[in-house]
Amino acid sequence: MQLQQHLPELEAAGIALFAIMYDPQEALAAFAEEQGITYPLLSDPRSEAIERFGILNTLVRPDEAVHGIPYPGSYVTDERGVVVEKIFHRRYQVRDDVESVLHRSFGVALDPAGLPMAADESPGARVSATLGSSELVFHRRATLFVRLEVDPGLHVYGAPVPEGYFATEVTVAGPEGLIVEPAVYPPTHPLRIDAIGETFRVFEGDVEIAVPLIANIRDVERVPIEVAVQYQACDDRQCFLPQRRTLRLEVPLGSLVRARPRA
Amino acid sequence: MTSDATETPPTQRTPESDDFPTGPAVGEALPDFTLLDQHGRSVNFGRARAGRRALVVFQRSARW
Repeated sequence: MQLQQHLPELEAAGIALFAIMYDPQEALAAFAEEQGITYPLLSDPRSEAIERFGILNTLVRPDEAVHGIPYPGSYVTDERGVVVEKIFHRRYQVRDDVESVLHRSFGVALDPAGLPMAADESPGARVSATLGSSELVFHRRATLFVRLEVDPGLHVYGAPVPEGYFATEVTVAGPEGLIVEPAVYPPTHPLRIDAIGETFRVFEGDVEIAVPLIANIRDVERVPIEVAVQYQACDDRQCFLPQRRTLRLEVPLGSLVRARPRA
Repeated sequence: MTSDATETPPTQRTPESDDFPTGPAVGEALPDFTLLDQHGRSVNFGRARAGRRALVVFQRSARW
């Protein structure tokens, strides 16, 4: 993650940041100096914390020089230190975009200025898709936030739905190399419609669906992304026609800033 | 939807699937730890967190 760059936002949101590595303290001192890192880089040279967490990479043999590394990943905790979200990827090259994590995991509002965005409207609802960061970067996991603003008094359906109704569904497509992870829907709540004696799983108000994206793409300037949103807005007596809106975003592909090679 | 076209072939260090240990589950408290920071100061997770929400990041290495 580009943690140093986003340290002010983390601090403003009251988030304590800890980064743990298996390197000796001297190596972390040199790294912090070279990279201008001011947040705590914690040295776990005997992998004690790594083992206590249960994330020692046991695919590395004990006789290998790199023995002691963890499976890289992050934990988001609440004020009591209880895990509320885990962010892991089997490939250490994949890092999460900090702006997306701030919004998705810590509830920090997105600043829409400079973020790729597309929107459309239909009777009863407005749909938009906003990328959580200003650009996609090779191997960085960003999150696309698809927002459905449902008019007061109306609802849309979550899966599963009885036959004849349409569940809210987001489908994201892009060029070869754009990895689209499964969409994360917010929880639904039950709504009983007495007139027909059925209970539905519904969303009301502002509904935000998160779709993690990883760009395994290089050598292009922009990545076209197509977001299809299907939904059906109803009140307790009648429904609008099912809608399918397609939003198109052209997202800049940024360059991966690599750490300077060590002398 | 595109497949996970890997740039580098999986090595011994990269799990071949998403089924690898990721430590404490959602809903569990993180274990406490005390480690030296880059300045050689002792940092205790619980005390330094001081009742704030936290982002705890395990990274690969500062050297490679």
